[in-house]
Amino acid sequence: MAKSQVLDLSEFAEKQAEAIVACVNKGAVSERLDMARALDLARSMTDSLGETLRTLDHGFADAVRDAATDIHDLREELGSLGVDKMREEQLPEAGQELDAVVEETEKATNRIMESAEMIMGADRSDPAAFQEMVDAQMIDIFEACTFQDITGQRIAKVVETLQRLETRFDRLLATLPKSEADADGSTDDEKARDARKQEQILNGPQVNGPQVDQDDIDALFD
Amino acid sequence: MAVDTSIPVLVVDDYKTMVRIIRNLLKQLGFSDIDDAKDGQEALEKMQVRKYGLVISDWNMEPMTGYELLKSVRSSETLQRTPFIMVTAESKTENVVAAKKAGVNNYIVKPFNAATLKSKIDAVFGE
Repeated sequence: MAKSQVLDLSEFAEKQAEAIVACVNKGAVSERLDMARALDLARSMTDSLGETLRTLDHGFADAVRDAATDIHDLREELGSLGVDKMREEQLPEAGQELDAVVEETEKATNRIMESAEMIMGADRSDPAAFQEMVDAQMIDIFEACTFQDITGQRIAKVVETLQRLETRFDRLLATLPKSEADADGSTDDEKARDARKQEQILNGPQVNGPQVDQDDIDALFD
Repeated sequence: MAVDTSIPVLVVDDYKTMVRIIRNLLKQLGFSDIDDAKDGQEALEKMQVRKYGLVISDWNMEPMTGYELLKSVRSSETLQRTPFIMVTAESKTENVVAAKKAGVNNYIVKPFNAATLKSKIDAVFGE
């Protein structure tokens, strides 16, 4: 609205200026008459400009007011979403939980493998001693497997955080105009990573297990 | 003819745990000369220094993926005949097809077991 008004104003001013210049440039015979005409035109231009500027001023003020209302509404919506708590507490905690899961899983795997390697490399010449060692290592393996309970609880907490985040995003998106909600928003770095994944066919593990099972793969190589 | 278990094997994976698992499985199968690399780039550097009889590689690694390693190996005059098995969690048809087109000898999808590893090594060496 404001932009079209500025264009109209510009076009009008240009025409009026051309008319004034044409009047002034005419010969001396009609100089007085043309000067009067030029003054009329200048007055008309000033009046029209003033009117248009008043309209423009109202339009601009309305637009600023609307924008301020939108910002206020968005801030209220963001406040109600608990974004600060999520950013400062829940998301960092979720990251720490996942780090802990990786660490605990690795520790347990190493512990189990150490037991297996000890059994594999053990001296079997004394069956009784060998059996005793195997029994002890089996207990150690069972103990190492307790990681699953703890990591399961940690992952459940992360899933809960992600679900909360999803709910808040949905609410936030509902307040945005569709064009803004649909915007990609990827950074250059993210776009470069996505391009690399596509080029290198990096799909990662599939959610419900392998998409193609080993038998189907084998058929391709037979 | 049995597979020659004295050949040097290069295991390429960025997860130390997976390297350790494959090493142990290979030992169980009788292989003793086992080396490892943490990504395709390190593997390629090692392959330029030493001739390996078999490469067992993961796909998803940086800075050089197993797929890039495979294509580099197949385009190298000196390395192109090296037997190459992909062991990966990449289980989409497009991955298997791309690896086969790039010249992989066999493809194992994770998680896998010792029997699968043995059967693919046997297949690569024509057993």
